[in-house]
Amino acid sequence: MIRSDNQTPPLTRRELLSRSGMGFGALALQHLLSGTAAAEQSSPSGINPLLPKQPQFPATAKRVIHIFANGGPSHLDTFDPKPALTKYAGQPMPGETPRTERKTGALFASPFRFRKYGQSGLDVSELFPHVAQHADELCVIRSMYADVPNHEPSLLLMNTGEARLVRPSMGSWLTYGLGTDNQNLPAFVAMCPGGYPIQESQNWQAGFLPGVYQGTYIDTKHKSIDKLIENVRNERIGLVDQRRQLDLLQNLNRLHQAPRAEDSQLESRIQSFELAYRMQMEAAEVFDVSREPQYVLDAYGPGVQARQLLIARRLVEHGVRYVQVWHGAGQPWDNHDDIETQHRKLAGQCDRGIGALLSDLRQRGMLEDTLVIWGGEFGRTPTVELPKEGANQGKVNGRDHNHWGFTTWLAGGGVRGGYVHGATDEFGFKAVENRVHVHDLHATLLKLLGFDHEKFTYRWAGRDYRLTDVHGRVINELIA
Amino acid sequence: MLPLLFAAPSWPYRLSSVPVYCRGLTIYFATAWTFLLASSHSIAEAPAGGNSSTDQTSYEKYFVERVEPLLREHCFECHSHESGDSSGNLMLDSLAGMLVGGSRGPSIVPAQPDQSLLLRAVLYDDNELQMPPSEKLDDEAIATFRTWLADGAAMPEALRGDLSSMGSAGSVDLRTLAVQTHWAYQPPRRWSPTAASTPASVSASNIANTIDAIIESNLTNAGLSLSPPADRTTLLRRLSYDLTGLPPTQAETEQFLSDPRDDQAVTSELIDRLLASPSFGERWARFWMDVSRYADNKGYVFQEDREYPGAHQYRTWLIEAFNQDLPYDVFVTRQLAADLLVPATPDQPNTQPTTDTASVAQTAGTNSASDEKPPASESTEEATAATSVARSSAIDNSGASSNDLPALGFLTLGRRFLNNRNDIIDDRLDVVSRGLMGMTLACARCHDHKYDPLTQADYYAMSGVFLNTDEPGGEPWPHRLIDSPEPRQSFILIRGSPGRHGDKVPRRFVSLLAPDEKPFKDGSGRIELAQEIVSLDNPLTARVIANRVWLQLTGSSLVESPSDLGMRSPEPQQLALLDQLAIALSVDQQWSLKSFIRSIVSSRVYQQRSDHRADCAEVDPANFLYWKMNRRRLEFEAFRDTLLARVGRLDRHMYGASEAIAAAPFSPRRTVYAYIDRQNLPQVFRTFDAASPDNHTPARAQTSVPQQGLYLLNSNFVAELAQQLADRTEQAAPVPSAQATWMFEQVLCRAPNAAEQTLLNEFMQAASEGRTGNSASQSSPLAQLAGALLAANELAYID
Repeated sequence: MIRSDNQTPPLTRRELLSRSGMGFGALALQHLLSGTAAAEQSSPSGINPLLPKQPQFPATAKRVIHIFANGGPSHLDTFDPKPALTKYAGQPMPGETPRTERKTGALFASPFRFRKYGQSGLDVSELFPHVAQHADELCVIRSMYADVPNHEPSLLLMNTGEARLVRPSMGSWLTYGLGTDNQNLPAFVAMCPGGYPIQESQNWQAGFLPGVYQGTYIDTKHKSIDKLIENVRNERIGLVDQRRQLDLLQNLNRLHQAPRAEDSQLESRIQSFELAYRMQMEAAEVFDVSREPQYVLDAYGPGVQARQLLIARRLVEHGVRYVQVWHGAGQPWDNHDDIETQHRKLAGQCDRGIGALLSDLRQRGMLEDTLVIWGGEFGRTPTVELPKEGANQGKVNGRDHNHWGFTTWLAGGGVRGGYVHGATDEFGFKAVENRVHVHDLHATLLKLLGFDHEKFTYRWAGRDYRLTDVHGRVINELIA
Repeated sequence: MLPLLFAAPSWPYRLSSVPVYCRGLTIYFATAWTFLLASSHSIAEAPAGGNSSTDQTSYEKYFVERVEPLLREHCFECHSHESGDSSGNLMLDSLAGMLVGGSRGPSIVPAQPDQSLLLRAVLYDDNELQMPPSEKLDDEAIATFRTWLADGAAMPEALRGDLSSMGSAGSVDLRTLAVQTHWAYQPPRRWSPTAASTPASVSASNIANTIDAIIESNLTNAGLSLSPPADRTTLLRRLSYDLTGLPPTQAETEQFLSDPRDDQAVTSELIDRLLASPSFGERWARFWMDVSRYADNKGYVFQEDREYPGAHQYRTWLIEAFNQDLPYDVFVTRQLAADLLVPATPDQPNTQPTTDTASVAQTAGTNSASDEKPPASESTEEATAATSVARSSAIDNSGASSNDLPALGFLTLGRRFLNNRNDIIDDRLDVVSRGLMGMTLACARCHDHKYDPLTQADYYAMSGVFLNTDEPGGEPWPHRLIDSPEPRQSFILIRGSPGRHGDKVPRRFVSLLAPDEKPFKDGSGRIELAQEIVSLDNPLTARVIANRVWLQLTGSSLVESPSDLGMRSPEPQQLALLDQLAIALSVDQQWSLKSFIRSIVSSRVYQQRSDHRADCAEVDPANFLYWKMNRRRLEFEAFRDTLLARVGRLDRHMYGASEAIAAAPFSPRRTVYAYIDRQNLPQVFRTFDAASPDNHTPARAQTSVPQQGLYLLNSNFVAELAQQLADRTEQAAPVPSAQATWMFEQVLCRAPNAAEQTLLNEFMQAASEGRTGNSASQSSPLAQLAGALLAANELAYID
């Protein structure tokens, strides 16, 4: 194995080309190095279903970074300030308390201070000071709502548009519709450090779409490339030797192909090996954040959240279509108790990285066509969760799940910056003004990406399915 | 071979359902039989859409604004109440009038422009039927008719007309029309050759010959012909994979090639031997596991135990069922109702089925212990005996025993949806209706089916069967079914919502196929359901399984969507062949799958070469007419088994628990025994297009993605195999100069030709020099060679 720390220096592309032996291999590599266009031409369309495609109409967003604060971050403590909560703290909420998962009690003031940021005067709590620097780029939807106050269905709803049944995830839909710009990397990447979120890989499932549209899970707890991506490294053979091996394979394949020249499948498989060879180098490069200059590393800050947010930027920069960044295994933002310390800790882990990501994308001119989404599967109650044996025993300092009203924000990709859409009620329990269901969010996201959600369909089992099923409406106010 | 994602679907489907992209279809909560009026639009033609209901309105608007003026200008003069004229007894001023049609029959078939006489008339292609008589319409007008018909022939309600006022067609309703006109709802028709097109060799008793006759007759009409027979090497490989999922061994190859008898005798004996091999059951069990969405666990169930203990017993049962050639009607019946068929004798009380998971597998193992030998040792007598068991014409349920209880895995091994009862029932209904009958009944959960004559009442009448099927604890998973002691009433759930009960519906079969709507009487009704499904009067069941087997053996489906034979499934170009196959299987061969498979693989169509022929490709580029055999890529299981077999690692031990194959230590067992983790299916299954365990899989996709290359170049599994092959080579061929050749023969089962020999030699020399130089590779040149050979296209495709 040739490693950069070995006696053999890493090969440049040119060197590889010059050493890549006789015949087909060299030629194919040349094609590859000249970019994806060559690969596109030489592999018949339809054989590689991930080749780039045009959406239904011109789009403002071309790729997505979805930062998933799994567990349900509290909108009341982050992006939806409620003075009435402070004023009436400790008193019962007037009227009937909407049904949530567990029992809650009196109104519970946010322990965090809010400030106005930017020309838009957007309110952001002290938890997200770095994100707040981008106030004028954020499109904050304060009137999100979902269907039930439980993690599993709400995660599936947010990711697939369906709470129970097996349906393709949004990332799968989009890679189906748009393909991907870089055939040397997975089209749809889901990163989550330390293991899966609740509901596991169903959050990035392909459902009834072909398996190639499934998200590729990356455990960002790891740093070395061979642990990050399956089979991307081979410890037993160096790249020069492997190129020679591949040349032999491809030359044997050419001899086999000669009397079967009209069969495009054979050519397609030959090409896929060349792509695989290239992927080894490109993937290793993209996931290696140590290649970033120090000032960039400093901007994102320390820790795994920073690292995976930086990887996300490197991925989209290299043509990956859809990147999900999960906060961690299980449901970290699910703070039924100790919300003050827990939320402070969690936000502290990611705020700087998210802020840096937005700045970074802006500086690279990529924020215009990269859609960034932040949010969880639901929000949290304005009323305090009552203690329960075996759960938050002895603690009266957290909030329960709240699907009635919560906040999701968008940035970049053609959304309206410095804008707050909709509102929850006086105490922040229910979305009451310009309500946005998860289906509506999906419809709007699809529009930003160039699709009419009612016409972007896939026929399966006798029906034409949509991400939004029979629901959803585009919220035009969110679009710049 | 992969469907073009953004192109119009092509016929026939070879792979999974071709994605129909950009269809402006939305769910429309139709009332009864408005499926005929529902519509879909290509994006170019789509009227500006709002929500679902305005979408429907916009299709109607399309009629009013674009179609009706054409009718008025060119047709009404002779075909309307307004003019008082109905030439050819045809009225075109209402939907009803069009559907009932005139002397030539219905003038339109919604959603199927090419089946519509109206379109044929305006196209002017048919000398007998050209309308309007004055002159052909312009292209735009014709395109408008086509679009409108393709989109389902929507018409505002006011213009649809009243069928009961249509004179002779007074009793006809739209649904009856659908049932009467759609090809798949008609009984299969036996093919009878006309004198002119009959090749001399046709013999009615010989099904293989009939297959050839039908296909040759179509080829002749198109000016084409079958390709010559494939050579013995090709045929041996093709048959071995299709019947057993394994490559032939070197010894088998040598023996087969050197057999002095004539090709037909040798091939016929080979077919018998392969059909009798225990590997046949392993291969075809996996085929059925795609249909039945097999997995070893439940999917996401929060903190509950995720395993299906004993799920593998269902696989054991399948393997045995295929090997014993259980007739398909019995095969289906037992999978739906084995618990109800087990005789309650003192020896085998049906209330106390075996709970010992090992015993079933053990029994199975014992039964087939003599079959453990490689197929080569099977005698022809055994093969014949295995497939010639006589059976009575009625459904033979008498043979069921407690060993058949795992058959229920067909129903019980689906996803658990956090144990939501309605979703579990829906999953079972889907695998039954789509898997066995190509009927998309699950579409009628929230509203009547949009296209097919299936009502929401049909859905809840059928789901009542599973509502009355309980799951007692304490049994191994696949067995867990028992009829409810107290019947539960099934209700229509309004919009599928469990909280909103509509009308009561009795348990019964779909009214499309059982118009009398007679309620099931016997417990849950599962036996009656099975009988309805396998009845010779059911026009779908035999076609569906015949087509699935044909697809498996030829690589192309006769039906556009193998699991949807509904209204939107166009009439197959080779309907005569499909029908003949259905009749051959269900009637002539009394549901014997082995006999049926033997017929197909004995045909000259199956045994022809797969070479390209420019003249034929020009006429029929997609090989609809079967002028050649399709070249096919090995599916995941066969490919992985081949790698193991070529390295000498394949463990042919049968049955037992599933084994993880995605992580070290790598199981050397056949891939059919792989543990299928429904919740987090390892990437390798997806990378190689294996069936998704989430839902019934109609047909596999066939993609070529770089992750497949990465797996072959870099995975620990392939590296381990390559090293082992290198080790074996060194032992078997101690002289270094002979090693590359030995290995090549080992992997590809043939000697290298001169060009290949040169490549091998050059590679070995360069790799050895590289090694003595400054290379850091641990992998030896021989192991590198092994890696290249195991990745070769020749190994991955069947000519």
